[in-house]
Amino acid sequence: MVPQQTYQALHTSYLEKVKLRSDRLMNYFLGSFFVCGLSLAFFYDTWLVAIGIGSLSLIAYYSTKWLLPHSDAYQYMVSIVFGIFMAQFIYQMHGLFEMHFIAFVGSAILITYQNWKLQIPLAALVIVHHASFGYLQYIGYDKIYFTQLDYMTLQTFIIHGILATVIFFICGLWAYQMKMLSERQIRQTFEMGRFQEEQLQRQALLQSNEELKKSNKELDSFVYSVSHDLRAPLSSMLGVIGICEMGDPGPFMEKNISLLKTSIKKLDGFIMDILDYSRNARLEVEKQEIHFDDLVTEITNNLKFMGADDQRKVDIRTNVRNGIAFYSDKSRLSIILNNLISNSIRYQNPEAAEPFVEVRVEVSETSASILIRDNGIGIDKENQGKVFNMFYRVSTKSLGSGLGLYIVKEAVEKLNGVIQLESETGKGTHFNIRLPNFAHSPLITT
Amino acid sequence: MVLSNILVKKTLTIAWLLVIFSGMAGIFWYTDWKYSLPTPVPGQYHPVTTGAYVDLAAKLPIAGNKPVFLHFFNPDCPCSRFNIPYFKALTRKYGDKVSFAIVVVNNQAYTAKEIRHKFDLDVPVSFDSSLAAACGVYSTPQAVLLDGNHCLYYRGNYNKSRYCTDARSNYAQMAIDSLFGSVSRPVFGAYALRAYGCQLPACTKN
Amino acid sequence: MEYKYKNVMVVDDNQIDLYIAEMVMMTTRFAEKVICVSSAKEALAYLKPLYEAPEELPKLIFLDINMPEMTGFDFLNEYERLPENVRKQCIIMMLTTSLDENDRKQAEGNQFVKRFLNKPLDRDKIAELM
Repeated sequence: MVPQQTYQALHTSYLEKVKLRSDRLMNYFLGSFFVCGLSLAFFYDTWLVAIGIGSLSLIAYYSTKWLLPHSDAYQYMVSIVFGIFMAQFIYQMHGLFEMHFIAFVGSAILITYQNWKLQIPLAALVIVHHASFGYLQYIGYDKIYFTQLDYMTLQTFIIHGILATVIFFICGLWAYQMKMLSERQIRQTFEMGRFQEEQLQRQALLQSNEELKKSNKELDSFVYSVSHDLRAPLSSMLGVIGICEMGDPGPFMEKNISLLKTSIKKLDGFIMDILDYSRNARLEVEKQEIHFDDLVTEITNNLKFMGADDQRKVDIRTNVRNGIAFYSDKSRLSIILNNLISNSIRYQNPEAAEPFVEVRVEVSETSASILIRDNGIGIDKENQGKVFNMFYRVSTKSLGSGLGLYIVKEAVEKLNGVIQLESETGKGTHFNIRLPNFAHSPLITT
Repeated sequence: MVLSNILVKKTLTIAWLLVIFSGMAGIFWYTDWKYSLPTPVPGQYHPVTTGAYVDLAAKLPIAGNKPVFLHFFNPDCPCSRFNIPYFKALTRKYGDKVSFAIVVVNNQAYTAKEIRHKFDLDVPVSFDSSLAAACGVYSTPQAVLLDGNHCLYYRGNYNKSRYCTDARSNYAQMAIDSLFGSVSRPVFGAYALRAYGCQLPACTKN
Repeated sequence: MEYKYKNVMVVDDNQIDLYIAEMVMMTTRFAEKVICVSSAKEALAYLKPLYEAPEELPKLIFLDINMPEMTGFDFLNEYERLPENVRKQCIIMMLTTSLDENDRKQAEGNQFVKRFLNKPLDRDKIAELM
């Protein structure tokens, strides 16, 4: 959104528009007046006056405008020029009194500038012209010719004066009213803008509030779970040590030591999961070119020695269809694959003849499709919706921290991707992930 | 620095505007003056005094003993054009008592029909410029009033004001009125007699 | 008759903790028979049919709180619905790693729970119960 202009700036720009519009109109009006003068010249051959006075008037106006562009002096010039045109037309038509109406036309035109003061020069000129020439003609001064009317009595003059003043006054009044309206409009626009800005701010605030609440809630449940999941292995270890202390453990020594080892590994695993979660949530998404072959090899190497010692080794099959360059965040992709593959290993089906996990990748211009399929113990229908929840563990046989799939889902979402799960207990599980290819687009972090 | 710049500009503008306004005043004054100047008397002018007989016979087909009013007119002359409506008013008022005719003095060719159309009047039109010399007319518009014997009664301007609206200086009308005895013959001053308007035949008053 | 109790049940999803409880109780001759179940469901399934033979019921039940599917508190709710002769026989001890005050209050507020103990179970804690 464009930042809210100050009231001053809004005010100035609005008035500028009014001025420009009025100036453009003035060009047309003044031009028309000049042409009128020329057409009137036909009647009595008053060419010198038409061209001379007309063009001098226009020169006066335009040169004032050019010399003093930042003042509104030229608007007052318009007012004077209208008066001069009136005098010119009267002269050209040999005192045709109807030409006085030109002054009223001018007065009405001036309203567009929304400045009542512009009426003053015109009114003054008309009254002085009218009064002085009328008087001179009246007293018989023969060098002056002003009107075709037989007489110009004082009464006539006063009536004319009053009527003219009334018209000037009304036009001035409308100019003033228009200006007040404009001011009100500007104020309203300003207030509206400010109001909208406040609305947006309030919304942003509400939203960030909501996000904070969510964060806090997550933090609370996180702390609760963490305290439990960290202490559990430790208490187990203490228990085992207590047993060892109770006397000669004898044949149970080996078992005790292996139990200790299991607990420690579990604890370590949990801590690593927390680190993964934190990394995913806090680090900036980085765009790198991903080589899926290398990535999966790296992960499988790390996982080779995973698993309980009595578990069978799981065959990891990779099938990467490359060709097109794929760009995304390497560390998050690593976390996703690592978690899913290690889950497949951990939850292998003891009844399956050959436990395997297949990793298939297909890359296109716009996205990469990753399929991780295993023949493990599967996830039953009622749990399928909940496995992605934080700290959700499916059953007593669950050996993980409950964070794994939650972290996977968060990482996929961070990369603007989608993840789907299909599974049948006893048969196997298959995860389908689609991630956008950031090769050509900038990263949009949520 | 900027402030003094503005001041200089303002002074410059005001000075320039004063120049323009004086120019305008000059134009108005000049045009006014031009029209009020009397026509220069041509070199070979042969004055014709009041009472002199003007022989119309060959030049204008006007019968009878009615007084004749000759309107010397040049369509190209703005001054002539100024008083077309006034002349029409005169013909309407005195048409039964006086025979009106228009004498066109002009280089261009106009037909009688065109002239009549201009005035919207059905009056005899003559293009004989010798009539001007015969009456002692050397400008347009001029009114020439001949009495019943075709003797010059009045030759001069129509009006002090060139728009012919000043009732107190309707010289031509006064002349007609005095001819018929309704008013005593006024003393015509320079305003009436010193011809102003366009020179013959071509108008240089433009 | 050296054993304090004939039958004692331990309900915990963690295999190691079951092992620990069993070992400690055996070594201290706390119980003759330790029944280990790894879920609350299994515990209920074990207890229900015993209403016909109440003398076979475990005198003490050590109950963990944090278990998947059915927590310790869920077990307590179900336990209330068991036939009365079963309920009267067993005393329940909460055995958990939880440090949450709310858990403690909820447990101690329950009519069937006698004590709220922290894991791990060791010789000293057993000594207190003897």
